Parts: sequence; structure tokens; C-alpha cells
Amino acid sequence: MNIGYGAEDLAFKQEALAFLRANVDPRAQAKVRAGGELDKQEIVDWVRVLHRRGWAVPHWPRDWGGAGWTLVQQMIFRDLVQQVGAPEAPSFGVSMVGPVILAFGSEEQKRRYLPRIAALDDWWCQGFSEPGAGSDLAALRTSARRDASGDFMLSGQKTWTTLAQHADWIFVLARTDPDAARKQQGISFLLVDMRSAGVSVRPIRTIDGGHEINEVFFDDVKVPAAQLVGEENKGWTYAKFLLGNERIGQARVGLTKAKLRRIRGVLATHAAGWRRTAFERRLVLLEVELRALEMTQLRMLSSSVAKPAALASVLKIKGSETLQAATQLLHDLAGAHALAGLSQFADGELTPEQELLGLAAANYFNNRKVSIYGGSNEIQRTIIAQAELAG
Amino acid sequence: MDFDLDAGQQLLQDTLRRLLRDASGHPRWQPGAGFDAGLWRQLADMGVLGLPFAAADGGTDASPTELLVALQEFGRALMLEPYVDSVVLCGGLLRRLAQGELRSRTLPAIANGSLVLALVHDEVTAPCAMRATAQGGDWFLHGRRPLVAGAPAANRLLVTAAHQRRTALFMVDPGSEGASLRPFRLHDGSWAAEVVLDNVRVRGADCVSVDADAALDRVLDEAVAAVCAEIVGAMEEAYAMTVEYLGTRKQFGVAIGSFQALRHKAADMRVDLEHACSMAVLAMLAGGSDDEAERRRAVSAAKVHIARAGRRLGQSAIQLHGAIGMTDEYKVGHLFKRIESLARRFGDAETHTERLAACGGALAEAA
Repeated sequence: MNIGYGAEDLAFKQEALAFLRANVDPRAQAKVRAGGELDKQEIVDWVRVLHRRGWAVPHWPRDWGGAGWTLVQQMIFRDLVQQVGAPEAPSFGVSMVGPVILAFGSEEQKRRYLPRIAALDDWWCQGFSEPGAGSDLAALRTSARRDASGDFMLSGQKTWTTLAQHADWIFVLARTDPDAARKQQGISFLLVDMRSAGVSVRPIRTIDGGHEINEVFFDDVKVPAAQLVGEENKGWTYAKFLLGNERIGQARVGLTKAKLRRIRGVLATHAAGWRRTAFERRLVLLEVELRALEMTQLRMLSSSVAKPAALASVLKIKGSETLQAATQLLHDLAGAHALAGLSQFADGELTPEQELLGLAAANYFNNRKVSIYGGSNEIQRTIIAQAELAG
Repeated sequence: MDFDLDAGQQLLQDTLRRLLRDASGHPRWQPGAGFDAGLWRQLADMGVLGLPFAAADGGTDASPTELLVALQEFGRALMLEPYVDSVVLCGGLLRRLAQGELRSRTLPAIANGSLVLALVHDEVTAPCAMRATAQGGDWFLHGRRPLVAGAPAANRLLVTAAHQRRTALFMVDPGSEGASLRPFRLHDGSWAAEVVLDNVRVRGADCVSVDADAALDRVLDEAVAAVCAEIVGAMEEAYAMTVEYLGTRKQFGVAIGSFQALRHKAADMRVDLEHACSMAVLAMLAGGSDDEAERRRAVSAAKVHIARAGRRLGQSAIQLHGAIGMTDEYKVGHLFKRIESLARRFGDAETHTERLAACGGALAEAA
């Protein structure tokens, strides 16, 4: 057993850190650090920077632009991006549909979609959840029927679709065989151009006042047969593959670490006496939990004997709870400042501290999502119990 | 980076698990247990009592991983013999401080099992209420320590005492004139004693050091890492027993492990166990680090985390067992009590939280 980073990993860390610091746009970085929202162009610009360096899709095979990094190096990089406060590339393309196309798509699909995903020429969104199919995803009702030419006619509704307002493409789970014996059978995985006739997007405003999620409607949308991934009616298999990948990135160690560092930074100036002691105690206890999470993530990535499925769920639960606790701590520390947003401060340039405190409430409200998305924490507990308990 | 056990470490784990299962006819936590001389000899024969010592000191020169593996097995089996006190704590001090003749008559004797030590130090009260006075070539020790873990089984005591604003360290025969022990049993079944030294004469050759503070600081961190590993071993066993029970106990005509409320509680235990396990590894490997700041952060973070997670897991293990978990004849309640006892040795969660706050938090410096 050896838990130290090797010389190679340490050199990699230095190289990555130097690159991130030299290339991140300071304006975008300031927004990320305060917990603000980036616009689409800021994210696209950043992904282009990574793309030019060859680091936009490090986890893909080298032939398709991968960087040949180990799992530990990928984790180091992700954590550094979050710690530095660089924008995070949207995962829908590079970590969700990209790997599905790589694993199950045709050669033609790989050539058509993958380079544009890597460069963020196409922004993708995820068409899985529906009003009647949340945790019970296989209950989905959006349907796709073959027309005379063999193409699909897609009808139905998706919901909670993150950043659909930015998207050029959507990957959709649709029922292609309504008579299948089990509901998991008869589902197909389709790639749909958002500009197709019959696609419409309606924003959903969330409790933090933001607009991240949407409803997406399909009204007899024609989807060419060439945009079916893999085999017809095998979409559930591909979806499970995708969701398994999704859980791995959910520890969010770097992000929570950056938040805790910022909280420590304002603690001294923002709390005194009893309040200071009480908040410092909470902060230390959270830092402890974060270290435990970080070590567990390392163990999972570098051990050959672990049970990956259940461990990914362990990380998802702990990672989401720790991030939520960090946003809650800042919300509490902000005190009366958390009663209103940035508008409470007079016009003019805000200090980083004002920005942090003014966004604390919105961040806290917004992050209630992390124990719900990507398979709710209750679903994760069920997965763990299934792996551990009989019955 | 590599978290897997190699073949030798795997073998050590298997051998210890078998030995501790077979070692005694009756459960180790029942009255009468506390120090099993036969078991101690077997551990010596396996080289386990000399794991952290160099070969020249009669030890096996093992890596921290071997120690981690052994301590987890002790925790799992509820072994109450004073391994941490005699080998990790006293052995660790002698390894750093003892020279020449003193070294050669102590370290090999700990490793072969003939010398069993307990550290007479402030487990309960601070500052240290023991004074050392030099007179001629001898020393005189005077003071009282209310709770000395492992003392009843020890044939020698290592005593810390104040001397010229430093901490001095002496080896004392508990049968010396003026020395008295009042043994009592702790809730986890292990033994401790009140130790009173009334002007006990110690010959100069048994003065280990007149400046033991730096070594104590270091070795106490190693002891924290050691109890962390033992707690995690006990947590693993409590979890395994609970999972097994959920699968076999039937109510309402079905295994109770089919009920979602119980399944989710078991999943939370798994989450706690995985993270506690990670922190035990961190503490054990960082405990030997020369980076003092990181060593303190890692060890204290591990103790805080494991004390809290161990308590949650132990409480859940009893809850999920129901009334049987409350009984003295069943193991799970004793695992819980062992976790609670170990959690407050060498600084409880609150003490280590304070220590973390004092050194700027649990996180390493920013990238």
C-alpha cells in the first residue's frame, strides 16, 4: 500500500496547475469563485482553450482526442479545475453521450459527432427524465415510431433538461416497442437535432431564481434512422452505461474544497466571539468530512479489489451531502446578508466578499439539487443495499 | 499509488483472523479476559509484537500497512490485550529514546512478549501530576495518575514526569516500594489502574530520557492512528454482523433486510465504514510522515472522523439488531462499547477538532 502521489503525478499536477492559472479568463474565474452563473460564450471560450491544449476530452481514446491520462490524473485535473475556479466543461457531451457513441455508436456516428463534441461546436443536453418518469426512468412514455422511410417520428415530453436553452443536440430515450414484455425493453437511444421542426423548449425557474432546467417537447419530430445509437430497443443498456459513468464524477471534491477555503477566508472578518468559534467548529468538521471523501475517491480510483458500482454510489451520497453542507455553512455565516441577493449592495464594483455573501443564499437553494440529480441519494442507498444485502 | 494488500499482508490478515477466532473458548469480552498470556506468546511467535521495530531491535521492520492490518484484526476480534499501550506507545517511545543497554533489554523483550509495558501518562487530567527529583545517581518519582490503561497486565511501567520544565521518562517496576496499583475494569472490558507512586526510587539506568516531549508528541500521534485502525476493525465487524442479521432475522414472514427503512440505514453504515476506512489508512501512513503539519492534520482529521462515524455506525448496528443488540451475551453491543472507549483515548473528537482549528483547519495548503 502506498498513498503518496508518484513523481509523475506530482509533475503532472504542477503542469496542469500552471496551465490553468495562465489560461483561465479572470472574469469567468471571479464569477465561478463567487458561485455566479456563467453565460454560454464564457464556457465555450474556455473549452476551446482546453481543446487547443489537447485537454478537452482527456478521458477519451487517443484516436479521438484523448490525453492518455490515468484515472488518478483525470481526478487530479478535475479537482484542480474546480479549485482554481476555472469553468467546468458541460458533461452532457464529453462525459455522457460521447462515451456512449464511443462504445456503441457506428463509425460514421463517431466521425460525425465526436470531434464536434470535443470542441464544443455542438452543445448537448440529456433527454431522459419525464413528468411521469423520474427515479423510475424506465417508465418513460416519449415514443418513436418508424415511418415509411424507416426514419423515426418522435413524440412526447422531457423535463428537468439542464441547459437545454444552450443546446444544439439532445440525446433522447424513447419507447420504440410499446409491446415489450418488460418496461426496460423496447427503449431506444436517439440523437436529435434541437433545430428539428417540432422541438420546443420551455424554461423552468428554480427556487434560487435561476434558469438551468427546462421542459423539452417533441411534436412529431422526424429523426433520421442514422441517428439511432446501437441497436433498436437496446437503449436501456446504453443508458445504464451512461449513468454509471455519471456517478463517478459526482464526489465534487475540488469544488467543495474551494468553497471551504473561501469560507475560511471570510470567517475571520465575518464572525467574532461565540459566533466565530461555533462557525469554525462547523468548518473544521466539514473539512474533515471532505478529507475522508477525497481519500475514498483515491481508494476507489486506484484499488483493484473494490466493488466499483456500490462505491460510486457511496461517493455520490457523501459528495453531495458534503457540498450541500458547505453551501449551508456559507448561507448561515452570511447571516442577514443571505436575506437578499446581490441587489442589497449599492451599485458599483462589488468586493469579492460582498459577491460571495450576496450569492450565498442562491447557492444554498440551488445546491439542494445535488442530492436529487444523477440518481437521487435514496436511489443510491437502494443500489448500495442491493450490492450488500440479500433480497 | 496503491491501496491493495500484497500477498504477505493478506497472509498476516488471514492468520490473525484465524488465530483470534480460535484463541479462546469463551468470548473475549466476557469477564476473566483482559490478558491472555498464551495468545500474547502466539502473537510474539508470529512477529506481531515486533511489527514496528527494526530487525536489530528484535522486530520485523514491517511497514505501517502491516500494523494497520493487525490493528484492524484486533478491533474486529475485540482483542483487549494492551497491544497499543505496550507495543505502539511504550515501544514507540523506547524505539526513539532508549540507548545502549536499556534499549537491548527492552525492545527485544517487548517483541518476544516477556516485557509488557503501560504508559503512565495523563489520559484524564493535564498537566502531568507526577514529579521527578534527582538524588545521587537515582531518581525519585512522586505523584498519582487516576487512569492508566493496560497497567494491570504490565510487568513494567513507563512513567512520564515533570523535571525542569521538561517531561522525563522512566521505567518503573510496579512492585517497587511506594508503588501501588488499584486495578479496575473499563466499559469495554479492558483493564486499567489508578497508579500511585509515593517517592518511588528509580535507578539511573532506568531513566529513559530527561527530554521526552518531542518523542511523546510523535508517538501519541502514532497511538491515535493505531486506535483509529482498531475502531475501523470493530466497525467492519459490527457492519458485517448487521448485514448478516438483516438477511436472517424474519418478522412479518420475511427477512427484515427486505424493508427499505432498514436497507437505507444499512447503506448509510456502509458510507460511514468506507470513509472511516479511508481515514484509518490516511492516519497510519501520514502518522509516519516527517511533514509535521500534515501529520497533525491527517491524524487529527482521522480521529475526529472515525470517532463520529464509529459512534453513528455502532448506534445503528444496535438499532438494526433490535433488543438482541442490547444483550451482554451478544457481540455487537460490545463492539459498540469498544468503539466508544477507543474513540476517547489519546484525545476525543472534540479535542482533535480543537487541535485542527488551532493549526488552521484540516485541509492542506491551497494548490
